[in-house]
Amino acid sequence: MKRKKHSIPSPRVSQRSNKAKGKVVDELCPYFDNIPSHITVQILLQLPIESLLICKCVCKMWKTLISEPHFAKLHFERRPSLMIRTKDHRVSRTLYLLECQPEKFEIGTDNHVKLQPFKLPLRDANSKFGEKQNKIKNKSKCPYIASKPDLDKFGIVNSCNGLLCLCDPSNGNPLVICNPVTGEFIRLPEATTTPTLNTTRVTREQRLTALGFLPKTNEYKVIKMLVRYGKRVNDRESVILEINTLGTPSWRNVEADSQVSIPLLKYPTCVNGALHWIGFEGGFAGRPRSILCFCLESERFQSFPSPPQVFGNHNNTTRGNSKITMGELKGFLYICDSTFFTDVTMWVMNDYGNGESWTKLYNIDPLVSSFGSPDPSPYLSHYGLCFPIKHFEEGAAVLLYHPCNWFIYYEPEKYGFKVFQIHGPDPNFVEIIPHIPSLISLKDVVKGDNIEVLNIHSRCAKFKLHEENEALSLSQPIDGDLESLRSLFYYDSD
Amino acid sequence: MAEEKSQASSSKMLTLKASDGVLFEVELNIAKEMKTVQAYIDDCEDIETIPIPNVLGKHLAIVIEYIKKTNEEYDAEFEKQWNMDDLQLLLLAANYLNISGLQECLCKAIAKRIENKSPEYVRKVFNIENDHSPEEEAKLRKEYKWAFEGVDKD
Repeated sequence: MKRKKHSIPSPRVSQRSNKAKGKVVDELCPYFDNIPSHITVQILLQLPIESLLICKCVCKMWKTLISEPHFAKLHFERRPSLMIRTKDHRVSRTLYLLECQPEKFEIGTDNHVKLQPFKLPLRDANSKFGEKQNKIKNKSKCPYIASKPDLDKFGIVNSCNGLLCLCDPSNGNPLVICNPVTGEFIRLPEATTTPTLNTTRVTREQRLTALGFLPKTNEYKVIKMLVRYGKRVNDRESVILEINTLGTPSWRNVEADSQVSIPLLKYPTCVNGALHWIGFEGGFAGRPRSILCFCLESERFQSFPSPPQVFGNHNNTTRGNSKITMGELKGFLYICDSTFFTDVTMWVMNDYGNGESWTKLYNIDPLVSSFGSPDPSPYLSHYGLCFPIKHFEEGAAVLLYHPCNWFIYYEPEKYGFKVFQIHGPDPNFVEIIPHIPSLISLKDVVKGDNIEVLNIHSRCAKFKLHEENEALSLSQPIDGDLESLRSLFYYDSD
Repeated sequence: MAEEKSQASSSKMLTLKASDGVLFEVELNIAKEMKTVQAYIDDCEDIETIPIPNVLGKHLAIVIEYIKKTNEEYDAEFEKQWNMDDLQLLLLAANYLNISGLQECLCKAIAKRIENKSPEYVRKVFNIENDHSPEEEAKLRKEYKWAFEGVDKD
């Protein structure tokens, strides 16, 4: 049976007048006048965010291509990165993007590579830019505004699809969702009054919040939970659970399943339309015991298989020393255990939901044993935070953070160890947030007119805080072979 | 039976005819990397010469060479040899012939060359006319001021 032959489009001859270069070239090509848009998209997907934003200026079609939500989604799946900010008494409204590209550094020099800063909104902006303050005197002479960390600083809860959930650091109340790259942000609806309980029976409470994404309905949801624990062991905890679907004007009360016991939860991570936390037993400095999962579709808690090899090991750990973190990378849940100083390990759940699929990926042995100091010191509580810096299928690469503001980049196959130093105004500690910058626009998220999408750049572009004159940069002062690394850390420098 | 056929076909030669008439004799397994050619062969097994009307001989030669030699090292050096015009035409060829590895390699190469460049530079490269109104463009430049800082001088 003869099948129809493929038809190949007949060639069309056209003349190309290339004025910029002053020559005329004859070509035979069907798509001569412009590259078809799907090819342009393939090229644009390779560009970093800053270049993409510049390319929006090229022409209307490019602006449309780049602004499409689908493009943002495809582009988002590029390499993972981190945001860091100084962890001190200031407002710290600036986040610095850390993308690990070791090839950009010159080893052994004092060459500093500046980190790209992004601004967060101010919590108390209304008092500075509200309608009463339309005209600020001497604005051209004095562009600086006063800031009060108590009033202006945001806590960062988690990052989901390139959006950050910001909260009031004093009580964990979620206030704002923002995209630091585009500068857009929205204020979450006012909290509804929570019913007071008989407080004499309450010993402690836990406030929990997280931002998640449900791909099925393309919705973002913020959940807010207040758990109150009774004095006696058998006292049932009471849970008040509220959810706001971004774009709706209010919080919904959701009934929480009383059968599910809620331990101390940390490291909210959204994967597959569900939020996950690590549950710690034994209070604040307790041991990791479980993973709790909140399904955003059914809006219910459910149990989730944890890696027993990791959590089981902590039976003998003294309290306070567990250093476990959890995160997500391209749909894979990972857990990093940097508790034991001789052994930093990373586990990945290869098959979502399947407890048996927890696989140990990396085991960074010699590195850590070189740096451990024999005496526990305050620094050790921050020691050895570990983050994956490449998609798992592309090979091993992790970033370790040493509290004297060193990053240790470890990519066994290509570079081995590389050490980077952070320079900045007061860099004793930085807070690290795994975050992949994305172009997702909040305008596409909050469809409809219920919620106003604001923008940092339009509202207060002229004004800045004094702290914004500072910058964080990285340098790579030494070559990272193990010998030199050892000598570096035994003399814990300034 | 299938095995015999594949043994025979691996030594079979095929002729590709570029748009300017240049002929290339290639082994079947090389030609099959071009999915467009593969589809052509699937449709009519006895074909010996396949016309490639959208690609110049010069570029087809480069594409065939790429398929033969591609590996991580080769790819890294490959893109450095060509100017922007050639890169674009090679990309169009790779797209037409449907060779995904080459497409990816070329997209990355072109992206690298326009990274951190001004809109004017990018327009020249792609021969695109600016159809933004001056107000629209000013608005974009203001909104993304931070992205424009440190752009390479043209």
